[in-house]
Amino acid sequence: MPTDKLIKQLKNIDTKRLAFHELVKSYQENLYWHIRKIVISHEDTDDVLQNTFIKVWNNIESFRAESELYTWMYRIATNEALTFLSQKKRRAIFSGTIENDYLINSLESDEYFEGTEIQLKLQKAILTLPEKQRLVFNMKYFDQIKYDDMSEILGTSVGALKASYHHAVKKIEEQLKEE
Amino acid sequence: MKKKKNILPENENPFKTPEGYFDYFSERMMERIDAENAALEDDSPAGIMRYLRPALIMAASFAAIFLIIFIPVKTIGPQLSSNNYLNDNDNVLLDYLHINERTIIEAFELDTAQIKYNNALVEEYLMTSISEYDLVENKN
Repeated sequence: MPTDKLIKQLKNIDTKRLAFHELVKSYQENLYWHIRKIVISHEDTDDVLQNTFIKVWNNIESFRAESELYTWMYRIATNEALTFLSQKKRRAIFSGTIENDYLINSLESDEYFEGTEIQLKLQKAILTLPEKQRLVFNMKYFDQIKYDDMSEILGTSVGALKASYHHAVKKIEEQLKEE
Repeated sequence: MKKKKNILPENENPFKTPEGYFDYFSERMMERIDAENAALEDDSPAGIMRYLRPALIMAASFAAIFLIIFIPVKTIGPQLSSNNYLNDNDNVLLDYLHINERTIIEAFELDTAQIKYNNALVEEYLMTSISEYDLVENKN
């Protein structure tokens, strides 16, 4: 179904439920993988993904077609994931662990991680990046999201995103060379 | 120009999901939406009334029991109070005369104290109150 027709149906109370079901089916996988790379564990991703779609359901009436539906949903998903992560990190700091240790522990204990050794090294290297760089790297390297769309999702200029990605790649390569 | 060798591994996704996760996610999502909507309805005035209904029914029952007891007591009560020796009208009259119950009692006590007992009176009392049998019994 074309996106503008789907949006119309989502804003109509009689067709909202059916259209929303279709929306979830269409975007669940992309949003899931985007969130999963931020929060790492499957269970946490499931929670955040549900919260993201709840936000979409509650706010679809206020969605203006100034941005693409998918960038709007990516923005919600990113905010939800980062909010979730900051809460987890706060709890981790209170319990005396270093904030990134929480994510590395999640990665090492994740029963749904089936990567090779080099992929595990790569993921660990990604987790050492500052949050924004990590986001940019994942979105570009794994999801191949265009800089223009990324700019809309993250609210950062294309130039800054390119620079951020460049720094992220350099840091990761250095870490992989060291090991 | 020689292209720089890329040391990053293939950008394959190393993460997996539980089997069938995406097949059932939308159904689970719709269930959650329904639950959220139901919770919102519960917060509405109609929803609050649904929670308050048992308490209101109980309050109405107590009110009915109170009325069932109170109305007969209220109706019968004035009849019982009319049996008092001094009713409200009597008290008004006594106030007007500047006397009260104590004054009346004292007056009676004064009368009793002033009675002069003599043999004739005692004999008359005994003759009316005690039989000859009692007198013989006490003598023995």
